Amino acid sequence: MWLLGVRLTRWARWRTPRSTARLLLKLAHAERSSFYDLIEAANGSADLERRAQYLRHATDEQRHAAIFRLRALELDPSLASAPFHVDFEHLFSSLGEPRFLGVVHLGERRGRAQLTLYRDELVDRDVKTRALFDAILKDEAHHESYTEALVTPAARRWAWWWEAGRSWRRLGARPTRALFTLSMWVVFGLMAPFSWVSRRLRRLPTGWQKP
Amino acid sequence: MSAVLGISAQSHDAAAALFVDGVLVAAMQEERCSRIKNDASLPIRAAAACLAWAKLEAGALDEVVFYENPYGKLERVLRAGLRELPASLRQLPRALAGQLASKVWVLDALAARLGVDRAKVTYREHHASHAASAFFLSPFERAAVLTVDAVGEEVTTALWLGEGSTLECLESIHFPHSLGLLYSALTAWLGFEVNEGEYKVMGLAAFGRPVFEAEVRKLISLESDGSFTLALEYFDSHTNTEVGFSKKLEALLGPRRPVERPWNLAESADDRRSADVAASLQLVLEQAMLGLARRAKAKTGADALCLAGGVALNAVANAALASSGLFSELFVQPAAGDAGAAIGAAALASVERGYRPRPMSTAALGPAVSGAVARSLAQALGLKVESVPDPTSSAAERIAKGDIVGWVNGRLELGPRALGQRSLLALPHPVEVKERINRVIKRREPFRPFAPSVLESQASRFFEPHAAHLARFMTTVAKVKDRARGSLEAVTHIDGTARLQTVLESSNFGHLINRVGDLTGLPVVLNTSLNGKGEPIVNTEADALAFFTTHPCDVMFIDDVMITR
Repeated sequence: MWLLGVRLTRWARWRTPRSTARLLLKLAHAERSSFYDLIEAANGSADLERRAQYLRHATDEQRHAAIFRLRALELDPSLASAPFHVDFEHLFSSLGEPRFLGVVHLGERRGRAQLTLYRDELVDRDVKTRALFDAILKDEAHHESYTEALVTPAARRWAWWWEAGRSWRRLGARPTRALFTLSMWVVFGLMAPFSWVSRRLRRLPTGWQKP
Repeated sequence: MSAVLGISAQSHDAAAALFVDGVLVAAMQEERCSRIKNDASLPIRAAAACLAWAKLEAGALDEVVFYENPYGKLERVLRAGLRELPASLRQLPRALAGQLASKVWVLDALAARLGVDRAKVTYREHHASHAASAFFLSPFERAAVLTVDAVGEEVTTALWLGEGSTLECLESIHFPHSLGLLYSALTAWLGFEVNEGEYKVMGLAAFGRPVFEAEVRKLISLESDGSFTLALEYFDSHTNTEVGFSKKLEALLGPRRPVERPWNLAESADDRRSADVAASLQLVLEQAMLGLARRAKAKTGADALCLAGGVALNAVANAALASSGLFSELFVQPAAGDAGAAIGAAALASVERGYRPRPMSTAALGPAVSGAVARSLAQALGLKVESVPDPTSSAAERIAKGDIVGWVNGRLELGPRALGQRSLLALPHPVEVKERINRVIKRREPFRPFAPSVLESQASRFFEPHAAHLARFMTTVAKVKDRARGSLEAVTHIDGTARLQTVLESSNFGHLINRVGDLTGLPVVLNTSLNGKGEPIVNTEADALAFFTTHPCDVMFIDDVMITR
């Protein structure tokens, strides 16, 4: 179902260098966000072997983020000033290690499927970007397999429901933000006279003020 | 026993600081835990690290002190936003959302997340926290104190008198007239990120000439009493917090420099012009700071001056103050920005409880690293690992050989400077060292200088006289002596200065520098922070190894373990 959605939006993805660049930048942000959660796990796990695995995974994500960003800026240099949104969810500290692994594994599996699809869509289109996906997919396959070996079936099931809940909350956040903005505009409309009064009656203080 | 935890958060660079019986036992920035540069979120993990270091439970805290008045800040945001309607229509809902959704509830959130009684969570005013971080941690019994930053609740600049256990605010300058906001606006105009690129502007200034002084003086009027007034039509902080300047400023100085456009000061006239604007800004900032210092002297008659607030991180302006002769001694809080205000908030509460803090002798106040953990992680990553009985000597030998060395030793530093706990070290010459670190390892702008660390006892061999209290924390610059420039070319800025750090021989880092001196005849190393582009300084063994595996430095020392590829 989810992959179908990704397939249906194919026309918009590779339409122009700018749209490709935007997608790559989005992927860079996702990889960078994932780095934060993994480095938290690398610092927090009680098991030294797993800490090393998370650390290696984290450095992979960091490298991927840099590669995606570099290519995005090659395609559209104007994106250099695009704000970087970190989506650091503190998954390790808030969920505990078994559930963290469930969520990471699910994310890696979905990520690999998504990148594979993108790579396949790029046949005969953009050799450079395709090569980049090829290189990253090798790492993604490793991430999927090592987390698969560590994750429990219960954590895997739990992660599915947790992700569904998160998607629902994210979906809800959009209309909530719109409603907030709208209500604020109404409030400001009502406050406009006070703005005028404030400007007229209270001058901004200049120079030294006594406490 | 009195245990007080100070917290700064929700603006930029959140931090926690713990005082036990008036002793600053631990302090840490949240960014070092979360790995998000300038992380402003509640520093719960930093607080936990401070408590763990002191082996205390949160329940044992007598007081948790937030570094500013959240209600005062809300009032200012609301009042300033309303005043600027309708221009603030886009910005105000965002600002209010942030304030109402979380910032105004910060004291409750701290109580809940730290697990302490709400009655124990209090706040102090923003500039009082800054002032306390400078005065109560200074070596002075009586001093004038200047706090200069962008804005706290309402105040942007304040003049204080510190005497013994008292700290009295004498006068202040209020928002929107702010040296911090002036500097931030021009930082953004130069294409750098606000709250991050200010150091770059300072470094860039040395490449320019202050030919735009008249233009910058149009942005700010410096009064004879030391106060100043911004020409508000050039600023836009209510409607655009990301850049903070208006179209009128672009009409005056030209269009904003594109963000992340590579710098080429040798060939690009535009870039040289940008450097000239940076130099002009630096000159005017120094004039403003000297005006404030003259006022402080006149009002207090004190012999010593303490500085805090983000503007006090301008090492070049600090050096100008030191050489002005207005005050015989100077102290700048090493974490002069908001991170250090966590120390100040807790220091104020400690003083109220009868414990005046001791002078700050080190910024190494964070967690320590373990060689055993580093060994296991490095081995699992397939790196070559070797135990070294004397890491300072081993590292010195690698540095003397010309290697670039990652050095992770002891407790993490607080503040923006790496002071020999989490550092990237190299020989201070030839100049190619600087190029290699700048372009290949740290991938930063080519004009940015590197700092030298030198044994305190040997500093006068290489550097002209400088403020001793400042040099220990790298908060000033000094002229490199002419005869030393050839041997310090990788750490000498284009204007012949260096942002030096003086190091006591008795410390681990001192031993290392001493050993480098034995091997090369030069007890000086190039010292830059151990972090990649856009990342905070490393904290743990894992962070250091993440750096090592993704950056081409030659060798990494973590505690007593040497790691190579």
